[in-house]
Amino acid sequence: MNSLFTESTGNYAKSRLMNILISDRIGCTPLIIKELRESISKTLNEYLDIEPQGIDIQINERVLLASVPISNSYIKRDKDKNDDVE
Amino acid sequence: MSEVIVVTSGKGGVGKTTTSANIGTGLAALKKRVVLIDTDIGLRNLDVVMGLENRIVYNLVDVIEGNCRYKQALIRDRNNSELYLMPCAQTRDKTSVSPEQIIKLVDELKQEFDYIVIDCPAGIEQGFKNAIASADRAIIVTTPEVSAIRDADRVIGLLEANGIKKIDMIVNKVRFDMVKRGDMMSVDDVVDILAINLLGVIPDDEQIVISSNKGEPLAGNSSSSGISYMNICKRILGEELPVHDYLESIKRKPFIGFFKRKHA
Repeated sequence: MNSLFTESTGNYAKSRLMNILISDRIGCTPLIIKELRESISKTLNEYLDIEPQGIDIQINERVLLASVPISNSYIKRDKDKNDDVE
Repeated sequence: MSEVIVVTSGKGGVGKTTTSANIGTGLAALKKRVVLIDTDIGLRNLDVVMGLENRIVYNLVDVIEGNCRYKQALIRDRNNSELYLMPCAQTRDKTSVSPEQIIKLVDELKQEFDYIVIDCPAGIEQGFKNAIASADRAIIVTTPEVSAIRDADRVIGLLEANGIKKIDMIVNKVRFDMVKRGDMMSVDDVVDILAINLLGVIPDDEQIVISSNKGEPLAGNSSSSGISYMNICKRILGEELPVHDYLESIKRKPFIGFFKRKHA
């Protein structure tokens, strides 16, 4: 077995195919995904102190999943009013 | 009431021509009057798979250009008197005919035949447009490979954009041993991803090579592929046969339905 493939090559083919079809269907290149990532980062940054380099975006099963690490878990806006928010 | 079926795939080499030949043979065995039309102008092969290559006098382009009547171009199958082939030209190219001309020809053929099965060339250019122009329904042939499924997805989008609503799929060249050990996508995976009706499954079978060597389609004989093709033909006629030609159960769930197929 090729050490690169801890999962079966059939499953690997399926996950590659899903990414290809998403890209084909919404007509987005990896570049657009990059722009999307930056845009999400910019928007979220208005509310939260996030770690932009840690953003992970996945599109599958009808859902766009963005996992965004927050560096300090407080909401900027409420900082002055509510110091106890964690 | 006759029905026009286009057999298409996008990608080449997945088994369109073999599938067309076997569907034609199977439907004829089920007592339907069938004509097979090869629209792969310049790269014709349906005549060879049917074993009729030595009988060609006139072809599709001759009919369309008015060099002969359509009946003169039709070749009767060796084994079934209800099955005919309309071969295409080998020395011309796809631009020799237009979708309108195909529609006109198919309208004439509808008077005489129950089923008109059109073997589509690979690709999505002129030849594809000609082949799908007159179709009532489509059969997508694909294999459990990334490239074939990707092309199938694109073709399904184009068919939908052209108003073809009834689209079924045949998953061809399945290696069950490889699926079992996880080295090939399963039929379930393919159905999951493409989210269209599964018409049948054909194993990767050496009998198919042997049958094309001989020029005798195997639909209806006792090989596993022959039986699978025959079941496909019965499903085309509306018979409710479960697709149990493969090991796993069918579950249908469109995986990225939110992102609609591109229709252009």
